[in-house]
Amino acid sequence: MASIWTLQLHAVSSPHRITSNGLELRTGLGSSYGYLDCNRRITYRKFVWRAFSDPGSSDEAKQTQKYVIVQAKGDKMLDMKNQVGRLQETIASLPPVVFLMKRQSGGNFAIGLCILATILVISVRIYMAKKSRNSRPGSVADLVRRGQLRSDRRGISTPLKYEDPFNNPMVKVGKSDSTIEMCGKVYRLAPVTLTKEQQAIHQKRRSRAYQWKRPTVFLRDGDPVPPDVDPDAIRWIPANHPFATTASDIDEDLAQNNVYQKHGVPFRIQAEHEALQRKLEALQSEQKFKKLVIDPGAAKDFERPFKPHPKSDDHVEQSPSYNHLGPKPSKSEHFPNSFESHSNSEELP
Amino acid sequence: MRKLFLPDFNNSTHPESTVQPQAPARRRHPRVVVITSGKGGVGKTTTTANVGLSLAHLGLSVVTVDADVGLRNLDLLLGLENRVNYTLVEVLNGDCRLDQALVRDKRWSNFELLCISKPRSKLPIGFGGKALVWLVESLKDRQEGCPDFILIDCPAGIDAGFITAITPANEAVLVTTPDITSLRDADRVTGLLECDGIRDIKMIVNRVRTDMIKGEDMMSVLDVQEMLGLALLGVIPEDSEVIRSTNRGYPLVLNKPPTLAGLAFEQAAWRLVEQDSMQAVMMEEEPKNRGWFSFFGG
Repeated sequence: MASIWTLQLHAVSSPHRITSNGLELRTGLGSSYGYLDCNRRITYRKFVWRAFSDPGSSDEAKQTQKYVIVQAKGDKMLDMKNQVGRLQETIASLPPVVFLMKRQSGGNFAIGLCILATILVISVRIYMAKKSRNSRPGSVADLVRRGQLRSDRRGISTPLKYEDPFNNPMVKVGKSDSTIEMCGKVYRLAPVTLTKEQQAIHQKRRSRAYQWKRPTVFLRDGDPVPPDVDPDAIRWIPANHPFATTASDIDEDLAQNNVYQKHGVPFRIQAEHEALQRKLEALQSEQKFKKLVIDPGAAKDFERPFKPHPKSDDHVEQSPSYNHLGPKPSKSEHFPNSFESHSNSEELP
Repeated sequence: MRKLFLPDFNNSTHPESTVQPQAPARRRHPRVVVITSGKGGVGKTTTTANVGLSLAHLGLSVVTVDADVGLRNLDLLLGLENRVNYTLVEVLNGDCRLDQALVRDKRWSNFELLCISKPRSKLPIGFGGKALVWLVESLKDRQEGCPDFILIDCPAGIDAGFITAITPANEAVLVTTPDITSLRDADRVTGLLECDGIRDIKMIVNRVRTDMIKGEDMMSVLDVQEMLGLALLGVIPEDSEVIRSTNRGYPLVLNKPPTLAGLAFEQAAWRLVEQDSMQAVMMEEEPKNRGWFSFFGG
């Protein structure tokens, strides 16, 4: 066991052995405090040493020198000695372990008591929580009371133990009970109890409760009912219904073709484009026509001077180039078609 | 895992629900599924967006149709509102072709969106149903190939919009929440769908809170099923991420890592492809095994 070695410089008068090169430590063991029977001994080690000096110096000087050196080192050793002494005192002041244990037993008891009380409190809390959960029915019980849920078919809140073989490959995830873990949460699984017979019962119930036919005829208020139409298939649209205002005659065939169209330009875009094209052509042809009409003011510059000659008069009457005052009736025959075509293109939607 | 198969349908609009396993081949007839609820605000549009994208994620070609004539919002959920230039109304009027009105999602090239109309334009009553039937017929033989799924987001109510939306459908997904008002409307809508000849109807229960079910303040999914008598396609737990995804225009199913609701939508999409339904539901949360210090309330 540990033993405490202490260095203690002691001005000895006891015999010592001095070697030629250094010093020799002579240790002596002594034990104090014999009442420490846990193998703890405080021992003292006494170091006795003496250093060599220069052999050439005088004896006194040597001794003085020796003494000075020893003295200097002795101060250091004294400090250590004090520290050691203090340590010894501290140890001596500590009570024995047995005594300590006897004194601390009261505290251990208190700690144990606290732990016991904590366990008790926690278990009581758990018990109270379980009890309150069982006693409070929850608002779903009101649904049973109101007749919305049948109480005899319920029984879902008690956990099911799959001790019986549960032949469902989708449920067997856990090893003991059927549990499944999703996103770090563990859920208990319960089998679905709806059978085919129960489904059929529900379908029959609904077929008796809900009688509905798909409406095929949509009429607004005031419209006459067509003959040979099942009254159940008529849907009356109220006058203030928002869709009533949008009811318009839609060309169904055209709409169907629009839906089925896979390639090319959509119908309306094409129609608008063609209408625009026709309008453009009509405008262009109208502009051309206007350009062909000669300005009377400008034509005078090109007019030849009138020569009163019988032969020249006949020449003038026969030449069509001098008929510049207005369109001839023969020329007007060329234009009606373009005007008509222009009006037709405007009528196209 | 069950083998993936895509059943083929005959030409009738409302066939009886059948499951005919078939080797994967080029489809000639798309599966037209209408997603409806009756009551508004239960999550039809969210379901359409997330299930549609999940199907696209699975490699199927999907066309989603926002059949709400007056109030359009599927494009908002998908983040495609700035890319909708033409709608079905413009196609009918001849202002554009059908392929020009279809908006292809850049995230998933096999996912397309078609809106019926812009807010200010309206479709006359009685004409919308025919238009949707023509739309389905036109999509069957287009150059890109027939889509595998056409999902129709039905408007709320049982008015003209509802009648329009269910016209071309041969399957229906009914979205409901576990509250009595939604269930009553869902029951009525189911009755109308069955009257119109749609027999293959499955249910998605949305906004489920297991903590409230445990505290008996919310009907359980089994209670809902007991009331409606419909097969379960999916159970979607309440998730605040839904609102965030709506604001971002980034559907839940694209989140990495996936959220609980996103996982549930993916599973519902898978069951839709497989024509399967849920055999068990998640009832309550088990307390997770915690360390020793949890004993002291840590």
